[in-house]
Amino acid sequence: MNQDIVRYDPDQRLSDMVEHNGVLYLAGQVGTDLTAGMKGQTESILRQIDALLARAGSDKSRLLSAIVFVSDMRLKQHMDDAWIAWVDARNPPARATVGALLGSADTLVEIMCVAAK
Amino acid sequence: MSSITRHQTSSRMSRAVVHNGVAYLAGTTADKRDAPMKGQTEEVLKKIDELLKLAGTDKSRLLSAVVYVSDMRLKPEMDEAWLAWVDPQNPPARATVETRLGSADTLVEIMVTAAA
Repeated sequence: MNQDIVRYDPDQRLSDMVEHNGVLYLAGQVGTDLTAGMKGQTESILRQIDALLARAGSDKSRLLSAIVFVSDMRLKQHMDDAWIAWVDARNPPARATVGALLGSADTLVEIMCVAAK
Repeated sequence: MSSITRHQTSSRMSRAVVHNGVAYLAGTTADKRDAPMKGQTEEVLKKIDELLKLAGTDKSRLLSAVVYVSDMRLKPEMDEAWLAWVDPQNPPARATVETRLGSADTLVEIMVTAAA
């Protein structure tokens, strides 16, 4: 059952990534070092996304959509600095950025994305 | 063109839309808004079960979920209901964020996708 679905690093609550029908659904990623600033946290998240996509044989050039949650919209530019340095300029995904409070007070950004395998 | 099936459609939106083997559910909230976070989450998850059934699927085929909570301090109560409900062998990719919802007493809203 469910052989058409591959779950990466599932625990009892969530999977870090789920693959179905050629599409990869990534869990919301947060930075590993929450003492880092907005740019540093975003860079950490984008590295994690690279690593997850690589495990499924995909990469950032195949991103379809992304939702970026930022804890303080005034810091959006710092997120965007890291994003622009990272994203494949010829293959950017559909993206939205919204202000939302995140898992802890020092979590400044969380990114949830979908990619083609 | 591949077909699109819509369920519980109003003039404003559909509660579930199925296309190309994927079911997209609308953001689901509880009707009993005097219930606390755990109770509201349980009601939401029950509604999601029903919508998934309409779409010909079930929670073991969840792909992703975004959980919006009105107060992150209540996240553990949401998670209690979530853990009791989710198929431990088949958890979706998930994110939980705090945001303001449709009414002041709406504590949680969940939006999921599932393989149909």
